[in-house]
Amino acid sequence: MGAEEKIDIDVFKLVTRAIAHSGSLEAMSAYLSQLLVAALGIKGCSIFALNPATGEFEIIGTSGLRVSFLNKGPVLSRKSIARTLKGVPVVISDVDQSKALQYPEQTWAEGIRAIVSLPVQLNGKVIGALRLYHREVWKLSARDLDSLLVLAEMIGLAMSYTRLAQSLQAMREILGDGHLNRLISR
Amino acid sequence: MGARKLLLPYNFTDRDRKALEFTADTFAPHGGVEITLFHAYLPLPSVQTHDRQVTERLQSGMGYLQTTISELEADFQSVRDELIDRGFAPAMVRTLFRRRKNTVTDAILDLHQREHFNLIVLSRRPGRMGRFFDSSLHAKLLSVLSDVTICVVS
Repeated sequence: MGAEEKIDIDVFKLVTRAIAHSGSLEAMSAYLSQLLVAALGIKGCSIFALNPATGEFEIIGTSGLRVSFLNKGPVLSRKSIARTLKGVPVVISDVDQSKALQYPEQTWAEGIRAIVSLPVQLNGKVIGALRLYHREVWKLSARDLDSLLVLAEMIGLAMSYTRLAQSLQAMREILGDGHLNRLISR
Repeated sequence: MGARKLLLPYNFTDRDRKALEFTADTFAPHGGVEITLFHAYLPLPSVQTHDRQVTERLQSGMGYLQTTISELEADFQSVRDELIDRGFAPAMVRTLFRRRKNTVTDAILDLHQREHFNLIVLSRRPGRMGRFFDSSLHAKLLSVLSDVTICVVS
């Protein structure tokens, strides 16, 4: 028997609305991770931005995970489920059978038994990751995995949009609206 | 002269812990400081859909997330206990664990407008990627607030 599909069109609409209607990347990440935890019936979810200077995946939104797990140490993209950095989705159905974890003891102590790690990409470059954590051994359906990959792409677009908007806001604060309008109209 | 009012925003990160330790080391020995330990969280989203079964499933999941928020609130109280263990009088340490509508920065500004703190202790992690996406909390507070001492623990 195949794995049960949990991301139907109603869930997908809720989640995409969370992406489109949030006022900030922080709020978008928080709502998105909460909705995915609720929809999939899983333990937790985190959305990361990749820091190219340090190689660290930095949390921008998370839900369901305890503070002690979140503060376990830096999540290094080359040590923590490193294939994510190659732009491929990684499904660890049973963490006991995997050597891809950077913090296996802390993962076990948090009650996590399965992890799905999806690259967040923009123009073919990995700029972050979407990770889902389940308390049980997990058989994710192919269709749910496809839906999650689409969501990861949307997160990438939202990240690039908010970065652009943030840059414009910073320019506006420095130059004032008049200067900015003149620059744009050239 | 009354006690100086200190606001300590706290989001359970390692940098927030440094800010807490700075606050305890600097102000506990002298007394005369009333601390407001502040955490503002986003409320859970609405999960109404056209399909009742889907809505019920989502509500069940949100119930689990609500318990994680309650656990976080309990952890928050233990942070207060820690400040008391470090030398602050219990009556001088207050906790505010609140839902917020907008950003943490907006929540801090709203609170400061109402309560007029003398000191705000912020934490900052240098080189953080999140700053590229959302405006920096400390930069915005520094640009907006006046007549308040802001300590940034980095």
